[in-house]
Amino acid sequence: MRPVLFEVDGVPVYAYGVFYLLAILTMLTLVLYEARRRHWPKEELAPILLAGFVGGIVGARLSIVFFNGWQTAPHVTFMALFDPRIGPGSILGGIGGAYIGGYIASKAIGKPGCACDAFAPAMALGNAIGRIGVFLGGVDGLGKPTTLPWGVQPGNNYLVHPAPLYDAAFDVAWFLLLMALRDHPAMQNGNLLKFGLAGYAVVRFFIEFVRNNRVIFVGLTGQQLFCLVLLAGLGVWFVLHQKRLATA
Amino acid sequence: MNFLRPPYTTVEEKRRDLWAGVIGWFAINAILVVVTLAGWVPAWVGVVQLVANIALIVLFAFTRRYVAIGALWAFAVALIATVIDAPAGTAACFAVASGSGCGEFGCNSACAVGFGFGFLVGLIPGYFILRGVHRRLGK
Repeated sequence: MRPVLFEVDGVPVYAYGVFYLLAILTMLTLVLYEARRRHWPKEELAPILLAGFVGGIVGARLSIVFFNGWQTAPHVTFMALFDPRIGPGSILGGIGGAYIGGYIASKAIGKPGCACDAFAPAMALGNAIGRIGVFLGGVDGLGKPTTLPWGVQPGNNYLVHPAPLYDAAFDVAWFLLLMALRDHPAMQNGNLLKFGLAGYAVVRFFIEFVRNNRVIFVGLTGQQLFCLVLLAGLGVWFVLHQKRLATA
Repeated sequence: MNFLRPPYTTVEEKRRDLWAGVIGWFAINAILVVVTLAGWVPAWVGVVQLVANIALIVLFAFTRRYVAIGALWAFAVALIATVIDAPAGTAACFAVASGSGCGEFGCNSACAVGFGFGFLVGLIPGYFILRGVHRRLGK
């Protein structure tokens, strides 16, 4: 672990913040690249990208009240959004907020279909980079105690699961798969993003068992409940979509 | 101000709304931030401000689209400043911030300087995006 990467004239530069910044820049670059490759008109790209970005950051902050409890509510004000001393929040809330923001923007501009597949590989790679920052920062104690040989010691006298690295390893593999599938005929019109979200939700559900997040209901953390709701929603969408295709 | 007006008929209307969104967002939020920091209004106004920001942008998205795009642009530039400032200030996540307070992670002056720097850096690509949208409206 290395929470402070280096110092500039006595001012610490934090690993968590550096990798958060790198993750955002990587996501924006990849989305712009994909948008260009897909010949996505700039008139549509600008509002959807802006709405997705703002929705993602606001969603990450808002969701933290559900995941971490009411004691975090004072950090969910307008001004707190712009306080870099407070962490960015939850990636799951960020994904939800970005999706809702992008969806509202695309409906508002009357866009037919969905160009959101451009976001799928970017989200996977951005998440992988962000998780390295979480690992270096030792955020939330990293994971539950373990005796496995790859356990790490984040300032304790016992080993814990390097849970952010599990997440990052999956994200890199998932990014490569999404890039390979991005031109597949069955993965167009929003399907690639839904596939990407479903895959991440399944893996995140299991990674949560070795993390230190707050248990909310029937032994499950808020993040696991979010993943289950997301998977159920995608399942309902899939069934309804199949019915529509069958009747068409 | 007519919030629910018919669709745009001229380029000038679109441009006026775009800039109204940008300037209005900064002006109204700056006033609210100042009165909150001065302690003239209770802290919960910050929550209302956040909810109102989202609600108004969504409302404008379906009624006066270019006001919403302008406000979103301003919101995004301010958030980019925070993201750029993150390496100087973000040491931990909410779990720590809510428990022991975040004062020990990064000093206020470094964060303030970082935010100012981030804001200027964010404005550079932001300016070109806004100029692109503004020019494209005329085509």
